[in-house]
Amino acid sequence: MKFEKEEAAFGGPRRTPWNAPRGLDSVLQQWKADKGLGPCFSLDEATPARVGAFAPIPDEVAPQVREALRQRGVEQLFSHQAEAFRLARSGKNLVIATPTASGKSLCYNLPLLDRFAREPQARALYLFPTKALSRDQEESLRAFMREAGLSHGAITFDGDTPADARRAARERGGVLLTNPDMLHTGILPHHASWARLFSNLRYVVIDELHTYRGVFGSHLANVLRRLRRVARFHGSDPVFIAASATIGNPQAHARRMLGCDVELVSESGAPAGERRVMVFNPPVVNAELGIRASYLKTSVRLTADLVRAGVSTLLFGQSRNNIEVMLKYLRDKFVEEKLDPALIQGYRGGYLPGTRRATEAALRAGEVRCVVATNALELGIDIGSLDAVVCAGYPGSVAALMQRFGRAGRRGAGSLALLVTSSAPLDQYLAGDPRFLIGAPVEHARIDPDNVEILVQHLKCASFELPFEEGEPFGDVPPESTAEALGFLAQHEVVHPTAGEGGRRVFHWSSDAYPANHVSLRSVGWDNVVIIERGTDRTLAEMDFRSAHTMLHEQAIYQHEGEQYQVEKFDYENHKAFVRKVAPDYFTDAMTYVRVNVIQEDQSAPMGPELHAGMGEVSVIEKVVGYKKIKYHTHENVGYGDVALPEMQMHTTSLWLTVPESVVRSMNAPRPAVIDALRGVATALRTVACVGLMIDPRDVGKTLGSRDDAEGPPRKDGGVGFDPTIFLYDNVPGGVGLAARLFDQRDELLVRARRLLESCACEEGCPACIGPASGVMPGQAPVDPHPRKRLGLELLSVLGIAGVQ
Amino acid sequence: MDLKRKLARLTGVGPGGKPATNRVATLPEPSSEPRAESTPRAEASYPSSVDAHPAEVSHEDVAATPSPSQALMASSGAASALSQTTGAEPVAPKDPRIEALRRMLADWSERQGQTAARRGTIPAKPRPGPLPVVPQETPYGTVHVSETLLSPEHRHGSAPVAGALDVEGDLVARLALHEELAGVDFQRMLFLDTETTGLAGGTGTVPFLVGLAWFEGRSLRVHQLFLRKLGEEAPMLRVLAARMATSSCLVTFNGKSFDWPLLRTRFVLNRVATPPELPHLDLLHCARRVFKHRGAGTRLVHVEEQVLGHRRVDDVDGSLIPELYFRYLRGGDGSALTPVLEHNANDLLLLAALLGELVRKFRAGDGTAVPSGEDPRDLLGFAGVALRAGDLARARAFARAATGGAGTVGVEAHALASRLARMAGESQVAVEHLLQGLASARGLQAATLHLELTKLYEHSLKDLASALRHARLSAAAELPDDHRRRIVRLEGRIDRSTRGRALESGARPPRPGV
Repeated sequence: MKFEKEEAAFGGPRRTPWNAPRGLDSVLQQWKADKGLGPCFSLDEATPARVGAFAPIPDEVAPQVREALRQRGVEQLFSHQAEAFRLARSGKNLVIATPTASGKSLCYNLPLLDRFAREPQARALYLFPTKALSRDQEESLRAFMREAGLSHGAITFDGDTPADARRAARERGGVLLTNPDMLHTGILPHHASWARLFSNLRYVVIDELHTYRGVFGSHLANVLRRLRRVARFHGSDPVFIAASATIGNPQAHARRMLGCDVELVSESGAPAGERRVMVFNPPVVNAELGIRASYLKTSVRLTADLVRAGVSTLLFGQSRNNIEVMLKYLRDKFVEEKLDPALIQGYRGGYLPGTRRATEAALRAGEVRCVVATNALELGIDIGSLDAVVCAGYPGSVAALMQRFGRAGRRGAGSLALLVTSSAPLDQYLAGDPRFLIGAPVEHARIDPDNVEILVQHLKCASFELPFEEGEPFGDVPPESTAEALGFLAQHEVVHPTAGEGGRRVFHWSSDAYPANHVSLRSVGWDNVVIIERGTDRTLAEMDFRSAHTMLHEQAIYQHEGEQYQVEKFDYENHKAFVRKVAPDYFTDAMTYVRVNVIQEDQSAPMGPELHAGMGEVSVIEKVVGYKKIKYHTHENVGYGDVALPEMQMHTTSLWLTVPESVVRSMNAPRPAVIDALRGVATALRTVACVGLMIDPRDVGKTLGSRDDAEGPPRKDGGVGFDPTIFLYDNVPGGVGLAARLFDQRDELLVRARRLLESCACEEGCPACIGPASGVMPGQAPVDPHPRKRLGLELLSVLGIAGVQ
Repeated sequence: MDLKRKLARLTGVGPGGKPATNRVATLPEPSSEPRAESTPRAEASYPSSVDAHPAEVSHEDVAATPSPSQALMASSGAASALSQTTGAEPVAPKDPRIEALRRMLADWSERQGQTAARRGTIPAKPRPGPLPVVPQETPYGTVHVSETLLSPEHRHGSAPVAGALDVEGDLVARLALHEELAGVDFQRMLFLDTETTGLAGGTGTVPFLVGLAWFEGRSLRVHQLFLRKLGEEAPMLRVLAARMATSSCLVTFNGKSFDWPLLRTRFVLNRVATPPELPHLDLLHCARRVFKHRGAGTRLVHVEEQVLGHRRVDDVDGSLIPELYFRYLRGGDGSALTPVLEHNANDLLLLAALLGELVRKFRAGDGTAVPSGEDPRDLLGFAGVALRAGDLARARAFARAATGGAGTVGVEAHALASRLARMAGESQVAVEHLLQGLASARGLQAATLHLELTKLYEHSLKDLASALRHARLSAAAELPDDHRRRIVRLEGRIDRSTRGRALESGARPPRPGV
């Protein structure tokens, strides 16, 4: 049979190419020597090996826990682990911010197990951002507790937990592992059923703290306010232990998150081997348009070199689609070369848990040489040590990149961490200025728990959980403000004030609704649009109302798990979008018109002789006016369509930079060209802001407008036009504090933007820096008498923004 | 935190909330109740809602007042609330920021009003009236109670309420498939039904009416505990706990999943010791099993209409109950809750009557004397329950009685009767039931009967030819492979046995080609 014949062709002993180099060093040498590859490495730095700092296991550790440690071969602790134990044991809240693979789990497991050994009825709550992570921790905690002879048990409680296990979790589990969403909708609103957990709650562990930022983080801070309130009702006051990747502000972030003082443990005592950090920027294939060779294919090629040489490699992709494509390419390459394609495995969220566990085990055992993974493998899952990590594309934050890089070199030997940059603006920015990757952490996680939209929703949930007494604070929200907001809720009849003891008002939940079900931790507000597939009537997903304007307008192509759907009807009133599966060769990109009005200026400062910066509250009016059809792969613009949707208004905070009209006129170029160049500068500013602030580019809006009302009175100086103003605003109603930080860093922001323009290899502006001139179709680059990029740089010079040497 | 300014710009509070234009409902309401100072009127003194639009408020208040006497009461009510305001809170100095906030809130309310108008009309403001409960002093504090004692002859629909007293523990245990109930003293049972501020469950749902009923002699006492004000649950819960301590079991409808877990939560939240769990008879599950062949659903009202022949007049729609209560809390009409109390009392009577009826009908299965005239669908339901309870004699009696039913019910009854006969070792009877069932069975149902017949003929009666005949008609009831295997096996066995017989009789089987 044909099948068997093919089987035999692959069944024989694998051939090892006789000429293939072996080992990491030989691959690196080969790359460097290659005339095509060599020049593309824009960074090659070796971080030296670090020796470990150790500390004895503290005397206070309970004997059975000490014994369990000894069985695991742990005779002494890393210095930061001992420090964390000391702080936690003395009842201090703390945050541990040490690199990946420095033994963070032990930092929070040790004080907990020690407590369990001394207090049998003690309970703890672990919060993880993903389900996979809590399952992983559940297993290792159970093993640890078994070895220490503790019978507390650890139970994961999430949407997948079966009903009888839920009961067991409520009644018996010593450690409850869950995620913020489940805590928010499933546990806190039913806290009476969890009385045993809450009344004995000693520790709350928040792992991967840095992932809780922006909107999600602001929500979590409020969920934690509720958690403490409920715990206090049941008579407990737990110690919070947070663990974070290395970010610029772990302590400040944790303080904001917990609303109280937090100690910092950041000096890692774990040893590390030498690591080469490299950045590979694929070569430019079209200089005019700034188009580079495919980063996916490049990553595959480099990874294949590594795997062929026997280097165990982890290849990270950005999306599920990406990793499937790269997996296929890699395996195809191996089949061609008569190597075993089973040495390469995929790993992503959609795979069955069993498959994933098997891959993890095979990787640890060395049976699999290469795994192509999404960020499902990024967080804490134990896969043993690897020689190399290749990241195809920048994952959006340095912290995430460092976490992926941290996968390499666990055993302390030399290792490689390689970033292959795509042609996206952020990637190109990093390729041009890769020192970001080796210096001290610069990213700051920002949250604003007092964002009023978010706060009010959680006050509703909190009053559902327990009535509020007048004078009671809500976490670090002072009593007066809490009362103010409750009064607001009372007016809307969601809470009802009654006279309690001593004449104080008590606010009771008074509505036939379950508020947590309407508050998604991943978005602001409670308005969601349901996406329904026509034909099957299946609910595909939900989307917040604001995003729906740009993503779900009629005729839009909605992409979901690698499938494309076209929106056939957007029922604006009833918040439903009806879609049908299609197979188009294009996707859509909404064109929006944005107008920003300043409502109140909170801070302002002159910058240089001309430029003026301000920060404060603004109203952003956004209207989707149409959409472009963009062809897959080539990204050509293949058509337009109109959209008629009402405009959206949002109050948020913004940074603005005003350029006087006189400067515009002083430039040696027509006004429209100068305005266009300014628009480009705004693009560059946003790119730079995203790298520094650890935020998704979607969370910062930018637009060019007027500082004053465009329809207001004519200018006093009688001139035509207005003072063009760049706005960079929090793209979240109410804001999460990004604008304030941008204002604080305004000088650096402008300097970095200038450096981005200067270092970009393009001639007249490309999407990676200042953006292409508007209206230019690909393939027909016009001869612009006033190239956008040059004009932009000139403008910055006039404004007194000098370049950096 | 510049919270005030931000609150003013909020675009809404989300589900559960109402536009603030509705805030007139939180204003001082005229009241004819003597307990005005202790009713939850204090909230009316919330300053920003009162002072924001004094002109608008008084205008609306007057406009909504139809008669002079009520207007008089209204003004006195407002005056008393006003005096409360000054008593409870010292007059705050006018803060320009507060003024600004109020202006903004007012603007916002206007905009919200427009949205609300699009969504639908706001229900009219209810008029006040007396609340149908009286305060009662107990060792646990004051509770507000509505109480009735029914005569021993009281009937709910066709059934006497006191019928519930005549039930036997072991029968109830079998009916409920719940062993624990066998030893319960049903003279001391406690009927329980709550009305709540919502169906969502969780800590924010409050039972504002706890309806209890128990027998005193053969008279049923209905004792409804009403929560006059949020935050006053503790005395009510203590009374409930005390009542439970003297009771032998709880009888509810869906209480296992709703009422009792909710009450347990209230005990925890109000720091009242949760009473020990009592044996719990949840009639929802019993009714579901017994009446499942009726197909009309097993909601309480359906059961009431169809089984007890009781039709409620002007019953309040359950989904409106939370809103009625909230309206009362916000100073609305106390008498508007009268239908809610009636609804609850009716549910309690229904519980007692239904329990009596279920057991009475189930008891009839003793021996063979199942009364004719019962609905065959229910008889079939009872047969199924008895079978599950392991009471085979009773199951057979009910199944046989149910065979009189028309259509599928009759066929199913025959199938069940056949199964029970086979379990009793009466194969011939079992076959007869199946054959009778076949007379009116169609399609898949017929195929299933044929399948049963073929098994009976093959294994019990050893009639292979009949087995094969029925097997050929049972294709639809089996997987194709199973069916093929059955046919092949039967054919093979028939073949072997005919050959065996031929050998015994000395005759040689015919040989081809000879």
